[in-house]
Amino acid sequence: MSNDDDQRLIGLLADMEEEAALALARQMLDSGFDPMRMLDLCRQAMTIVGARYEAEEYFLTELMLAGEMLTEISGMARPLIGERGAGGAAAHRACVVIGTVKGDLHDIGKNIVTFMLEIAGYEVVDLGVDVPAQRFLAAIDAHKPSVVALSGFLTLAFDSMKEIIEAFQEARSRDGFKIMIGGGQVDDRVREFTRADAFGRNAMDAVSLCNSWTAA
Amino acid sequence: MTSSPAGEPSRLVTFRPAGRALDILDGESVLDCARRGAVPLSSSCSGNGTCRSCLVHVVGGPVPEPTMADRHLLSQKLLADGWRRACQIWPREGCTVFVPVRSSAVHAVRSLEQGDVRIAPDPTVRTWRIRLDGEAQDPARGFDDRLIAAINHGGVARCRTAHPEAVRAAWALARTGQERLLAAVRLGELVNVLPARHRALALAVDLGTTSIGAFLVDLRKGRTSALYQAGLSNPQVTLGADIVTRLNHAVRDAGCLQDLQRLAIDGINQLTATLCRKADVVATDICDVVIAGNSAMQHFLLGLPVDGLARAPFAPVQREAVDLRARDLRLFAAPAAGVHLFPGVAGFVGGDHVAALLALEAQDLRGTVLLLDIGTNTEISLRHEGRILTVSCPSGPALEGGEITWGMQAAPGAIERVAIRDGTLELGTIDAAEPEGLCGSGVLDVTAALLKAGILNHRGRLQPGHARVRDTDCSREFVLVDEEERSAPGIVFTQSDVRAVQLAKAAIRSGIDMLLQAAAIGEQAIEHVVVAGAFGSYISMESAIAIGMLPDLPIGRFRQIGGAAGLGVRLAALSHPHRARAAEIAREAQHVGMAGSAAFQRQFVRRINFP
Repeated sequence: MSNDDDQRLIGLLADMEEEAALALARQMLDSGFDPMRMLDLCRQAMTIVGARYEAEEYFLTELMLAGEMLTEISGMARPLIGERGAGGAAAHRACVVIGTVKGDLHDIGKNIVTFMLEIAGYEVVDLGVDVPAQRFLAAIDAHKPSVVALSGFLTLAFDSMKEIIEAFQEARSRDGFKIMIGGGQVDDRVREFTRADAFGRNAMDAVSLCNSWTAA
Repeated sequence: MTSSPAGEPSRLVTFRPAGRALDILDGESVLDCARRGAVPLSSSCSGNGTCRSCLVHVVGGPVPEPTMADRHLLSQKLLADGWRRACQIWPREGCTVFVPVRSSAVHAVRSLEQGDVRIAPDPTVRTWRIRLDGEAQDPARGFDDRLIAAINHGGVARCRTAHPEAVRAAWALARTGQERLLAAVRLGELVNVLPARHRALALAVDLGTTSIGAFLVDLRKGRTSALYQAGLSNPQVTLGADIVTRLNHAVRDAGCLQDLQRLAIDGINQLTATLCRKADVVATDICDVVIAGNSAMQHFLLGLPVDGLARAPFAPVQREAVDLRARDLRLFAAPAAGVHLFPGVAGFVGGDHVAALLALEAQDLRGTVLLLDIGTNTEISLRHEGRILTVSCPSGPALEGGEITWGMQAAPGAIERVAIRDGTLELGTIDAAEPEGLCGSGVLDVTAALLKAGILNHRGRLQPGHARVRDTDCSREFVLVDEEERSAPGIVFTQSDVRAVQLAKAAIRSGIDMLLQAAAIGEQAIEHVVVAGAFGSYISMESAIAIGMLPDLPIGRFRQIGGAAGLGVRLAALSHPHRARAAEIAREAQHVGMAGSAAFQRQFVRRINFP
């Protein structure tokens, strides 16, 4: 196992060399590479991808491709984790439930946030688009998230956010998790209107908010 | 600051070059002040502070401190020179504000290719020459009976009832001794009566988001060419440049919906007045009105609630055609004249698209045809083997110059053509005026030119190393006009502008993909690509293909028919069978998978890169 391979894999992933990256990952795992470390290398590569996205060098296609490569490699590595005895070493990851609210179908911004949160080490449960309160509530029951993220681009999505947060309040106390909103022209007025805990202007804001809430 | 009237500083804000001066109110931004005084000042984002279309130069009086938002957006030099956004300054004292051409831009209304056709005259409103001479059989019967009898002269049942407004008009003429009259009958009802020497007219209106086109046609003729036509920038622009901004306003504020309705009616009436003056006729000679607009525009005109259109699944309140009277909307025409609004298909695919489809059929384009109306929402139809498949894509305002750093409306000074030849940048502006900003066709051209020159890679990243590419604090941009080359801020095309174009063109292209998929054909099977709408007629097809917005087909298969919807409304005014056919088209057209579906989103991301 060479350190050269480590760096080469990170470079290939960050540079979107899909075929070469997947081939190298397979070859490394076949020759006994620690699957947990493999996932860590992926995380390092994705951090570079995230930084390049922030720097405007990369755009949505690169994020999508990076996500696909990550899924492929996870698929190869995860079954090996138990086998090779590294299981349980994975740190507990805080969970974020995310979705585009009812009445809105925009999911590009939400997908970027999901990607960035995953890079940052969160377990993200993505409920998709046009998600009503009941589906959020069901996911909260099932996953016990630390953070619930409501996304919406249309102005009317703000009404949906408000309704969904009211439904959270009716169904249970809100103490178990924090709520953040994002998308379109959200600002503090919208946050106040919806009674969310915080709003974010971009994916980096979302990560910082989650970090500040889960740090303690 | 003292409150004594004598010592109070002037609060007069003077707008140049308009020459208007208004006292600014407490808490009022310069943008709000301009709107209140109807001083032309554009605002793509409607004062939300997210675009820079309202950039102005404070040239006299104290320059207000820049807001954080302005500090973030404008360079040190610009701020020091007194440039601010009108929505970001709330002057406490009087000042003089210079509004550059770009920010006062009133959309240039240019005449479009009409593609006129000949049809058999068979209008919904038919006219008959009648004589009111002779005595009625029973003099005690009504004047309306005499009118109807005169129309049905010879025992032909043409007219059953008479609208009181038509009777009133006939009575007024008869009292002045006029016996020879022209009776306008709409589906068995007398709706208007005019002197026999007048022409019975119809008004056809293409109610666009950006501009309104109106046409006067002669009801007795079988030619779609208008007697006179006129265009006007849609007065609703002051409440938002694009349709989504207007929808959001209307949803939040019922008063705004009323304003939108009033502005639409005012706009149409203004055009009617112009047309009547040109044609030397009176508005009451207009016996029928036909209007087509997109779903939102037609809702605004009727004052219908638009909540449904502002959120998924974007359902209109009223999809079927609507028939009212001119009087109901206070339109300039005979009071009982019918007003027919086109039916829509679904969602944002409204009456204007149906009108364009109707025009397409009349133009005898055979085979598989793709029709696009490009705007903030782009409606696309595929006609293939007797089916019509339709999709609506949220392409955003970028292609109309909105949400683009230096975007502007198509007005004098807008850069509309961009080419890079042998490494030299060539710019073409509307009216060859000094460049002020980029309009939609310019946005498309600059993207294509940068791609071709290799300054932009296929992933949409501006490449360093070119003399006109420079890195700013947090971004990269291509300089179109240097600050040094003009005594105003430089005009640049930024990395995020490229991203906005990528999102817009990917939305359109993946919409086309969805239609082809639904019809189970490849893009080579498309025999004609027809680009309708005002914006579509000015863009370069080559550029649209180069950036991958449209499929790469032989250029001979592309056609730009700017006035397709206008032709459709004229057809419906002159021919009842065509009007009926429009209703059929609207019902038959199949609304394919909504933009936003998982399949659309996947295809969308695939289309983000350039070819």
